[in-house]
Amino acid sequence: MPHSEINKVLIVDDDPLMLTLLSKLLNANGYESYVVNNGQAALDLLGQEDIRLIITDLDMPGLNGEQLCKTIRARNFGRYIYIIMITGQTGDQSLVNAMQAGADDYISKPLNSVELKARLSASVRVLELEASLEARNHKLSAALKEITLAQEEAKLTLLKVLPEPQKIGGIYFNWLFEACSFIGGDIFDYFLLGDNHVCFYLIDVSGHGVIAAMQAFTIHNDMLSSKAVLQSKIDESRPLTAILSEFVADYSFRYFDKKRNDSYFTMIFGLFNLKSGELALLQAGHPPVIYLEQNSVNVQLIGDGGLPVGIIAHAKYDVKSIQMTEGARLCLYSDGITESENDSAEIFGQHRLANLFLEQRGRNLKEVLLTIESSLTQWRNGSLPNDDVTCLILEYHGGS
Amino acid sequence: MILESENIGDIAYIKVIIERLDAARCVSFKEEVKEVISKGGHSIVLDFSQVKFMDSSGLGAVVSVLKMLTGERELILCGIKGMVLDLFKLTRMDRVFIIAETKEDSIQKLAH
Repeated sequence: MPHSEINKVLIVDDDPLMLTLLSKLLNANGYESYVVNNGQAALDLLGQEDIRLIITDLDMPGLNGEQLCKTIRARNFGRYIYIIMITGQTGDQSLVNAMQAGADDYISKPLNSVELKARLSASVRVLELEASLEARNHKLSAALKEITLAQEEAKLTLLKVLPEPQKIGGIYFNWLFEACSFIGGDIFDYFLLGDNHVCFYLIDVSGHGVIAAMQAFTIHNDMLSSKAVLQSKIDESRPLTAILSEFVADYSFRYFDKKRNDSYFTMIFGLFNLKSGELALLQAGHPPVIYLEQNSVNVQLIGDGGLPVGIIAHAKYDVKSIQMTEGARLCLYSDGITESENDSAEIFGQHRLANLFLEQRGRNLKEVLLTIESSLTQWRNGSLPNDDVTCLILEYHGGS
Repeated sequence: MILESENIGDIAYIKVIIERLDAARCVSFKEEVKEVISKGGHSIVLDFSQVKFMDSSGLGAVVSVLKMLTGERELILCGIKGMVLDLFKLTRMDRVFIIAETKEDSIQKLAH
């Protein structure tokens, strides 16, 4: 018995006797047969009925078997159609042509009913396999669509939690952020702590996709809820560097403890005294920051490394202290910028970014960021980034 | 295939034979390493001499090897250079892992 889904067979033959003979044979074996006496009628019926199996004569007036095969293969019926060709004799050149035109199998006259049954069973097996592959493909593309939608949603949510470009105390913040299609795990924020301090951070979570985005959100929320803790640690009698180092070490331990996978993140965290201009800067496995004083003709790359957060439980962090002068700028970025590749797989690199930052020193932050963005797009020759691109620039306007 | 491995005495020597260890290859890298180390070898040598680029996910995968060994078996990394070495220095992994120059150096280190 044929499979219930695939039991419709279309018989195409100009010989009425053959049609009767074949349809009787098929019906007796549990197939549902359809008969037509020419190629054009066969095509019309294939357009109306979900028929996946055809037995067609090779020699017919009008559209012959070979032309019918070609037309079926060229036209998209939205399903695979299995074609068995009936030929006058084997070894015929027209049989070779028919197979090349797209027939799957053939049977020669005079018809042997046992052989025909066997060939029909084989065709049903092929069609069933095809149907199950198609079903699996359908499931896969549905799943892919869902993942893509989730990533798009995550990307939009990510954009919503990012802070507005703004001035906090004497510091102007502005940024450039371009999430790659599958999300690279970058996130950043800046906010006021009490009356005299501002903190800022830029984080790059390892890995990609929805998991990286969820980690980024979690860290972002942790940082927001740690605001009060960090603020309470600020005590004029203790150095800012010690306060920051302790805060991040505590957070790092908690993060390591509760995370469930291999993830970790790199980070630049700054704690800034708005009045004195002192900046405590922590570098946890993140690329160095670029520092530029107002009238300087040189940029400095600050930071020579540090452990990322989440790799070992009891990590200790060195914190640098920088005295920011009026008009000085600081550029934080993710490796999505520096590891951006051109057509010959050459990376953009931090020196190219630093030079750009230096060259653009006479222009405002927005203009600098736009230049960085267009240079990167040009570097990638217009292709989309394969990691999140983040650049956060701040400019100090003094403590008064 | 991402790895080639051989047993040298009690050492499982694993050579990474791809040029980029990035997000796309991490899962296979971890699976293949896991398979090799499950077959034994008291110490493990991971050779990165053919790796030219490693991203943050790749580094995460290398760290996960350390966790697979649960501190009971020794792990030495060798052949780290160029951008991979820069990444190891930036993230202080050059202090977290035992690192040797070459395959021979690693084996010698383990012999003592």
